[in-house]
Amino acid sequence: MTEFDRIAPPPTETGPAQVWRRIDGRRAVFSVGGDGPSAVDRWLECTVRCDRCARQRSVSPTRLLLACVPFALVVPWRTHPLLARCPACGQVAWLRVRYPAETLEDAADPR
Amino acid sequence: MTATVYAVANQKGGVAKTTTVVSLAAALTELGFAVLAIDMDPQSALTFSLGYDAGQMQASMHDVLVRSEPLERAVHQHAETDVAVANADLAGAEVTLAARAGREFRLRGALEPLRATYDVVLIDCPPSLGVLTLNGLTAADRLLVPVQCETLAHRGVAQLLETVADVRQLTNPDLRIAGFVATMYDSRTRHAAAVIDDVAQRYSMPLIGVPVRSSVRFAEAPHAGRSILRYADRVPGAAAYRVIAAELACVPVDAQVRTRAEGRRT
Repeated sequence: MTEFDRIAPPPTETGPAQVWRRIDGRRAVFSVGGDGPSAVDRWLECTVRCDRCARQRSVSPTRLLLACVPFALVVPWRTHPLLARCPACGQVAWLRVRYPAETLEDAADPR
Repeated sequence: MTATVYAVANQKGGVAKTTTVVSLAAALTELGFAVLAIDMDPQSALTFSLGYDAGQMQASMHDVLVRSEPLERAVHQHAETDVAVANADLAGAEVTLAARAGREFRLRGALEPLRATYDVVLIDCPPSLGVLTLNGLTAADRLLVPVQCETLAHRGVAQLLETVADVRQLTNPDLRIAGFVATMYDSRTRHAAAVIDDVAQRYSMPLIGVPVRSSVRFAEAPHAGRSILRYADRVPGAAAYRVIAAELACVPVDAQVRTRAEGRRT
């Protein structure tokens, strides 16, 4: 053990549980939703998960519709059935959409 | 011309963030750059260090962030750098902005019209993770981390980098880490050198320039309302900030200045 081993570098890989803990903690300072909405906002937003960048973002239905312009494709049997522009990475990608937006409890419960 | 915006931040307090902003601003001005220093700390140490009493100013960063006043109203022209002043009212901005959507982008928006006026903008962030620090990190192109050469400041870097990861994901994907500035360096201790080596290795973060040696002159300079470069030009710390400024600006460093910065006689 070296002199500074108690000082850990920031984790590069994080599981869902760690991500949600951060949302409850220091990410609460942010007003923009990176991974999940507040309980109040969940009925005003959808959760979009991107197959390409693996990020999950809460967006308004209007923003989701804009992401489908000028091109979108729906393939219902895919786990990510919507091909459109990802609101997180900006690339055209396969997306999974959930309404109302997922909350912390939804994410913790795999059902 | 569009300014390169540096946020100067560390979640640990007392690591010489403000001293770094004042000294770098003065050193970059010496090199011929147009520099704006922005005080985002409610303690308003930057404002005081340059000789201003923000309580008597027409507008401050609080008015810019909360009342959407143009940033230029808070800017004052000091002999060594332009400075956007702050006062204790800025603490209220944390509370007022807390309920506003898009609160992280207030400074970025306010800075946009002035980016063509300056070459370099330095943002002095407060030592906490709050709306003001997020505004600084969201408005910045690059992050400069002052690290006092001791364990707790080292730990502050780890905490700051977690915040930077959040900022990149949520508000500013283009934020890059320029490197760290080693401050209050005491060459007589092995601990100081060990901190520098460990920060550089653990986070793959480059040390900018040379370590800034501690001097009582740094503590005296704010009282005179001048940077260390004007107050005590001969101390190694002043030369160190000249080296750091030159490296950031990618201009050649004078060999004599580097020698003095390293504490060797010229």
